[in-house]
Amino acid sequence: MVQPAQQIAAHHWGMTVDVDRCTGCQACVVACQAENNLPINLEEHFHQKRAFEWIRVERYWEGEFPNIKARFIPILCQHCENAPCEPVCPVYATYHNDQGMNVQVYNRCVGTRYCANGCPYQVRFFNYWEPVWPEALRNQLNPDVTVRSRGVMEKCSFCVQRIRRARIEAKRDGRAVADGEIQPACVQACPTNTLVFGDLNDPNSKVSKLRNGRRAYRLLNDALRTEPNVYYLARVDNDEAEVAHG
Amino acid sequence: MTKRFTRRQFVTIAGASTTGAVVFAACNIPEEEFVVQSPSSLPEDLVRSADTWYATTLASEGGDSVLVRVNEGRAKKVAGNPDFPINRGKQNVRAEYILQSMYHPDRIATPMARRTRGAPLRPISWDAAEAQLKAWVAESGDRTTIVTNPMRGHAAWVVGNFARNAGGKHMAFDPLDQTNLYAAIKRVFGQDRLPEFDIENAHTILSIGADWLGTWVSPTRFSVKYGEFRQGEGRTRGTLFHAESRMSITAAAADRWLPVRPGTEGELALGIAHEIIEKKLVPQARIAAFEAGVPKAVLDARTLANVARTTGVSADRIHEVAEALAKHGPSLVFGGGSAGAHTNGTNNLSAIYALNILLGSVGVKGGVWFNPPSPFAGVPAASSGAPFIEWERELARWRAGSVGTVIIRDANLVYGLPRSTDPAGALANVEHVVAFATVLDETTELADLILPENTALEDWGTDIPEPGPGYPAVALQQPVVGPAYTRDGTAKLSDARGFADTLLKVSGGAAGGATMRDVVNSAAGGLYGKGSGSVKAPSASLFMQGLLARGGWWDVSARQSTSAPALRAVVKDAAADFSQTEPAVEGETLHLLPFASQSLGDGRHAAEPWAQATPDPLTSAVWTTWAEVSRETAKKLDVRQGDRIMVRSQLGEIEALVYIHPAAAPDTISIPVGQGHTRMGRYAQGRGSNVLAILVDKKDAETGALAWAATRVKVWKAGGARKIPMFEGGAEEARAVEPGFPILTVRDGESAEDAKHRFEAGHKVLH
Amino acid sequence: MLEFMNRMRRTTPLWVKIIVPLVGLPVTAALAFAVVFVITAWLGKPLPVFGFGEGPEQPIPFPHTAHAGTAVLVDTAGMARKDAQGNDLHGVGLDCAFCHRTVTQSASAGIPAREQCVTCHKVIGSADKDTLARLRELGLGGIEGAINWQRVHRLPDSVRFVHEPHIRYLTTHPAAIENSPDKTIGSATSVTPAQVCSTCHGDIATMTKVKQVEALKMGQCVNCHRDNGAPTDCITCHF
Repeated sequence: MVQPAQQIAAHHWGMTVDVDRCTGCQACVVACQAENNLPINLEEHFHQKRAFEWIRVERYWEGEFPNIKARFIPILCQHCENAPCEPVCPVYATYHNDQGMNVQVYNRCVGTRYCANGCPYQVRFFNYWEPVWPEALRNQLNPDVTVRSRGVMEKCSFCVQRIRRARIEAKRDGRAVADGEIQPACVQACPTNTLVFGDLNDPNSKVSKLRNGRRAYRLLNDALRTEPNVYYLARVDNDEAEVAHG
Repeated sequence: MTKRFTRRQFVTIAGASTTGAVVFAACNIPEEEFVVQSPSSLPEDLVRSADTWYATTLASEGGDSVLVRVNEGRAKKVAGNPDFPINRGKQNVRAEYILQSMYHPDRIATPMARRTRGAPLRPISWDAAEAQLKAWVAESGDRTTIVTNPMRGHAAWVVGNFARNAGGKHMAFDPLDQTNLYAAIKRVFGQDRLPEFDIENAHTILSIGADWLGTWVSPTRFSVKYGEFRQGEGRTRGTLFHAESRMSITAAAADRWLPVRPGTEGELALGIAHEIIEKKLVPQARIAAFEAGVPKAVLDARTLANVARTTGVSADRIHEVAEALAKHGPSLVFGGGSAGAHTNGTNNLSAIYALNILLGSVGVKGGVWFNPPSPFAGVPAASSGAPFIEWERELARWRAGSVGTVIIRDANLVYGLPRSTDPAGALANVEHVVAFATVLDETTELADLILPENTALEDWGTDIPEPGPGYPAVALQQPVVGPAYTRDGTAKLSDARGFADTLLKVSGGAAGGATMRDVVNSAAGGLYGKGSGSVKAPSASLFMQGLLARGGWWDVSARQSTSAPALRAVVKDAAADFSQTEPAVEGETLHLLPFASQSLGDGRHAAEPWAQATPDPLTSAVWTTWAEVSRETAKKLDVRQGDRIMVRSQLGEIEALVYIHPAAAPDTISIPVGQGHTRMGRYAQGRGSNVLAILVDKKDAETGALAWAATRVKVWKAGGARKIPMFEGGAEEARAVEPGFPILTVRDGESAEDAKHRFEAGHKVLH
Repeated sequence: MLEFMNRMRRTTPLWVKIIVPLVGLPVTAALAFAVVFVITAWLGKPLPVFGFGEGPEQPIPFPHTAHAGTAVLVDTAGMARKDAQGNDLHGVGLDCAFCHRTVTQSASAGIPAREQCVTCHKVIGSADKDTLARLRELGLGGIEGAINWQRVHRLPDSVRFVHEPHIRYLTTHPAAIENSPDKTIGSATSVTPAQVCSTCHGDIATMTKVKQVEALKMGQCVNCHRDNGAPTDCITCHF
């Protein structure tokens, strides 16, 4: 007997990044590494520019000493609606799902790296090595997340394991996923509450309200029309006259 | 088949034949993560594979409470405890490192001892080790010294008791000496404990010297408050002024960074006070209250022009800060860190904190709030290290052979003390040296008896957050996992025991109880007796369960009353020196600014690979020691990015790689603390240089604290270069993500769209 | 034919006669191995020949017949085992979730800690059995050592399977249950969690040594998901 299709709440996951709150402290970066079994970035990986950070904090300088400003901006996979990485994959290892997420399927990936070349945000990473941990450190690995092997691409998944878990639990309890119930590791860790995650389809969610705010913009969207699901809230600075831009 | 056969290896092999796609499923792969371990001390673990989240505290800076995810008896993830009023569900960058500390591949496995000094270490049993420790302490009596990190809570209480019972003493070591901060708080506010800063409700903040968003005192809590200060709901955006000689992440977060000349921070504070008073920006009564503590003669000399000249901060800026603080309250002024690390450190910090009196910011919303004493009698709520002068005296005693037994725990003296004290030489003259450690470091490896110590996730204890939230608060520490085993399940990774637990056992319970668990239980009983606070329970045992579940106890109703104290002699000496800037020795042209690393702290996290690989926020450098110099200085030294330079003070020299820093002041060189370990496990060993090794032994004139930011150095090109490992691309600055706008900024009330148009109008060429 | 062979004997040099069997044998063996490998892969589990399909040896033999089954227990000779009074011994028929406790709560079904084994085996089971003696020693003698159970059912890499929602769904939709020893379960009104395990694991209660019955290939997962209206998005399982 075939059961009727179950009603699946139409979520559309998204994130806001309030740059005005960000201090560049790197708490999100380390929390992500711990949650998602990212390989240890050894010194040589940095030299080769092959270090992994699914979320990173970029820093830009503006102006000259002493009127110089350092600006931080956390960059993670933007989960674009028009993702440049998706059409270039010859094996459909990356695709857009119906919940607004850009998905990477490790099993399908054959490591062409086209997607990384296509990504204007540079948030896709290729496993050039088999990840290794000393035996003792393996105890920490998260059992909910695959340890990616050599030769596949990886990137921010919006902590899909946490989304899955929250949805399963909500369904078990016969309720909807509450706003704020799902916190990717970076969002949970961020001490200044720079990062907010939630359902963009829910007009009352915090993330919906924030992305409709006046300071909201999306990275590179004007130029490339990638339609990211990650919204940035601009840093406030009344000092323009004194700080040289360019 | 013991080796894990991964999908990739398989595809590689299968790809050689044409059957790859079909063969894929045929390998029977043994599951390595399947050794079911049995930490039987945790009843919940009888049921495997369900997650359990335990609340505990890491006994780290600030006293954050965390939840630890435990699955199959292993700790997987650390997350802030959303219940706890200090960190409110958040964590700082260093919280996660505890997992790698616990599962460190170089953790000391068993107790070890040497037959004689210099003989190799050999494993001994815990019973033998404890008997040895007991015998040595009994033999030494009042010639016993216990050296630890600055500890709080009941572990500190037990250590204190143990030392007192033996007749010896307990000293805490903080390489970046904060004695002056406590001295200044005492002098200005009459408080023994750090006050709480109501950052989230302040409108204008001036912070001086303290990197409070990164490493200073309680960064998680301050960051939570900072987020609200910026964009909290229902408030206007706050304005932050930050004066510091080096650009820290706090300086980067500020609306205005004031790169003050090192050592003149107090001068700046007095200049601001002078401006406020001269322009009569605050009511006369407050001016009078302020002037009761600051002699007129001192103030009169601090005219705008004078102060601008000494501090290097322009007169306009000083005026701007003074006006903003006075007119756009609530205002808050605080400082610490490098501002207090000069020979005039206490004066500097006193002048800074006294500004709160002038601004009327004590005991008001958005101001300074005092903290109640510890809720437990005799248990310290403040954790300052001993001032450097006491270390000099103590090490002199060691060198003279007048100390019998030294017990060291998490205090890397050899690494952290100025070379003039020669800690290794002093230890050599101590009869018995006992060390507790997780991983061997430079100091513990000199010990005769080395005992593997539990990490914070394996111990019982309490922590009294510092500063408190303005009312009594206690964080509870409990073991969240049992010992970890090797993969075949036959041996423990480390046969570690608790430090305080061992002291209790050796003391036969005289130091406070039979075990730390008992100590914590009776402490909980004391809290239960109060009948107030965050946990309500009908019985003491249920109360204890409530404490464990919530991660601690706090009592919002018992807020400490705070009122502005009458100022007395904030600046004790009218001729107090606020401008120690002249080089003592020819050629020492640069001011050395050591700073606590965002990831490695004062060096204690250097063993953990995550910490090593966490990019420095401003330079994105990792795994090494770099020296930040301005373009101008680099030109003078004829060096480029990555060139090796030698940095020499009167007490030694180190090598570092040049990082040309656009925000470095021309007469300074900033070097992060934390690297340059000769021991400390595979990830730290032989990496970078230790800047603490070249600090000169200058002290604060009053407190004897180490003036760790008062070293001047001579710098020269050493020849050769090496690429600095950095996350950022190449030697250039990071490529802008948004073409044309490095990071889009808006003015208050402006929309992002409008800002873009404004930028486009002003900058025709986007690049 | 005979003539041909005679000519062969005459014309083929001796060294060829030696080399061909020497090379041919390994090549044939390798081919046979490869064929078996491919068939095995296609089936998704080892071939049921020479005992390959019997599942791995466990460090302590754990007969599910005795624990989960209710049938009469038999010894190696196929004779019914008797108790002291001469009555037939039956399996105790424990619910699967009695030991695999987290199956209704979390991703992994869970292997019980050895303390749980010892809880019963402190008193149950004859003391002269080596395995039980070892178990008691492990379970009661402090916390040194662990039982290194061998996994029987293992999904390929990068697949995340969560037991809980599957058990929940099948207990409320018995029509989707497969392989159940109870042929009428499809129309049952109330189903316990233990009755649905057979869908993927087969009738474990009849296995002295647990072996994999179903291939557990992706086709199976997807078919069932599609038939039951469950999501077939890749990241439902692959992350």
